[in-house]
Amino acid sequence: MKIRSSALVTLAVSVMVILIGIVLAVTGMGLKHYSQSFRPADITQMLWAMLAVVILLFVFGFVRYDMPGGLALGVAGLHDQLLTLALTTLASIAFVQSYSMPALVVGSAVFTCCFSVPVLREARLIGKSVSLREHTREEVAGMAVKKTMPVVILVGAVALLIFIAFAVSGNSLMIGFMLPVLAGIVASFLSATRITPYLWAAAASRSRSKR
Amino acid sequence: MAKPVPTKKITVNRKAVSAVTLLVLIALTVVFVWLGVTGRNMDAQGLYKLLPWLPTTGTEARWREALVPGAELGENLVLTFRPQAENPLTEEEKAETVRVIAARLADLGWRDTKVELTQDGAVRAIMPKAADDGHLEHLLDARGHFTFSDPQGNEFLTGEHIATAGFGMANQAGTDFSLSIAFDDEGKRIFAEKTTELVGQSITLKLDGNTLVSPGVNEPLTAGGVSIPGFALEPAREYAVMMRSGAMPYALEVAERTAGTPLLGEGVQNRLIVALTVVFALVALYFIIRQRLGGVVAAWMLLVQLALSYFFAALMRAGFTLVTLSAIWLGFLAVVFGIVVLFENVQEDIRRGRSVRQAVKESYAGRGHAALDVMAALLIICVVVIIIDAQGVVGSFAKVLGISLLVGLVLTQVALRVILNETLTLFGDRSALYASGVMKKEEE
Repeated sequence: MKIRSSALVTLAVSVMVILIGIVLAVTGMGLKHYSQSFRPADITQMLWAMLAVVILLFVFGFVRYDMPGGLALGVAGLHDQLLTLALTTLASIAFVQSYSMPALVVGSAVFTCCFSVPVLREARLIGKSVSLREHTREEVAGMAVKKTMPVVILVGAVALLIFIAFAVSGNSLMIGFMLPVLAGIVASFLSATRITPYLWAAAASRSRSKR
Repeated sequence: MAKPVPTKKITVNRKAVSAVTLLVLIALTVVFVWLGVTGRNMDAQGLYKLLPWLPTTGTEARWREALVPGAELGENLVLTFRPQAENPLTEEEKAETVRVIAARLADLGWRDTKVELTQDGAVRAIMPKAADDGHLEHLLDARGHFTFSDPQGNEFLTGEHIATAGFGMANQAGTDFSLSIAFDDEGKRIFAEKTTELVGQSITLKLDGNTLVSPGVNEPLTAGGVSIPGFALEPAREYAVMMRSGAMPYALEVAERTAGTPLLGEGVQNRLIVALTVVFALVALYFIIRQRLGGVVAAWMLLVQLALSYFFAALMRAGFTLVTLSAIWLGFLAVVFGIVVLFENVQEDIRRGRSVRQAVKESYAGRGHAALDVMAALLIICVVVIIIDAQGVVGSFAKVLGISLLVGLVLTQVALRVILNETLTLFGDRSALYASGVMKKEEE
């Protein structure tokens, strides 16, 4: 399974950020609460919910589309959930978090779905309509990203507007409290435009060559 | 051969039907939103009332009864406690006191609270004004040290061995409540031994040295727990909360009781309502400029989606908190996504020369399915997350988001389609009415 190098680089950078986030969280330097520490039960439930998001996205993609679709959507979910948490952990060094952080991290699944699902659907549609002798799956993935970019940008802009509306309404605490939303937008945009479609392309090429 | 019966052919004026349908739907929307803003007393005395549920910045504040603001966004109650101890508390004792107060508040459902130590050694708890139900101070300042003792007064078990506690109705009339206690392994062993020894006698449950109840022991209680009846509702709830939180090193006394501003700043509520209204207005404006009549319908659906989401959030007693607002507005984002995907394809098809009606039909049957996919996937996620974390913050968020998505799903997949078809019938299938910068070939 050969994945486009730019996708691998993006994935590697994300993994690095995620690892730094995990180290900060484990050492207690990150995930700072504005008042007390986070309730362990809330963090445990958040981790279970994150796992559920990843599994459900994989199953949904597999049942609704196919194995490459499921794989791509599952990886998008995993990437977005972990990167959102890691970015939130990093940001919490400067901006303390509130009790709502676990919910907002899991809520980044909304961005994952809104950004990744249309790209994957488009890639499959284009893949069916073009000759694979003329275009590789990778090119098809690139075309899908280009085709769905207006929708992704528009929805991303509305998401940013919502974040800004919250951020400008309160004091400096509010910015920190809503940072998981911004982290979710960034992580999902990154995966939808630079990772997921190319992962789908690699998985689809592999399943085709197997057949 | 029977004579053919002359039948009168009834012709239906489709335009009139569409006009009436749209008028009825507009009227329903207006009434619903108006009720959301003003509420309504159902009788002359106002005993039965529909509270307003749409947040507004005006002087009308009753919506805050339906969507109770949390400490982050609403007015706060600030209680300052001082320990009833002769010597100053150690650092560990201070930390434990803060932990116990925070745990008791969280157990009552108030998560966005702040408990901190002041410079003069007092403990300050900031909580929503609505948290004060008349029993709060007693619950927060009591030490919460429970003991079990035999008839001679010898303590044989303390609250440290209580693993969890709850309360429930002990009789059908709802006048008597029982306290259910489950012990940890060591507590289980001690309680089993002592109740075996004390069969025919009684045990006494004390709180901070005061006897609460002395039930008789009819048989050895070896199951690892006990259910003790004889409490009123409020004490049973308080004791269960105290048992779950554990005891504080010392009892506290309320030194000061003041009103505080929201944690996120004075006036945050009004600013947030205005800012979110601006977001809605900008999105609606974009749709109207780009999709014209179609955009008006889209803005209408978004308004209904928000009004219904706030309505269900109020019904669920979700409160006016960051969690509730985030869930509602992420649901709004999913609906915006659905409408954008549907209309992008409609515009593309119109550019290719298809009629608007045909383009709408094609969009729903083809690429527009992405909207259905996204909302269906998110709804499934919400249901599973609610099962995983029914009582926690993630579960509360998923409940509101799930309802918001369900409303959005019906609105984008059914209502939007029906209304678009009715407007097409009423105003005609002219592409210029539904897409900016697009002229159908025939019109050119």
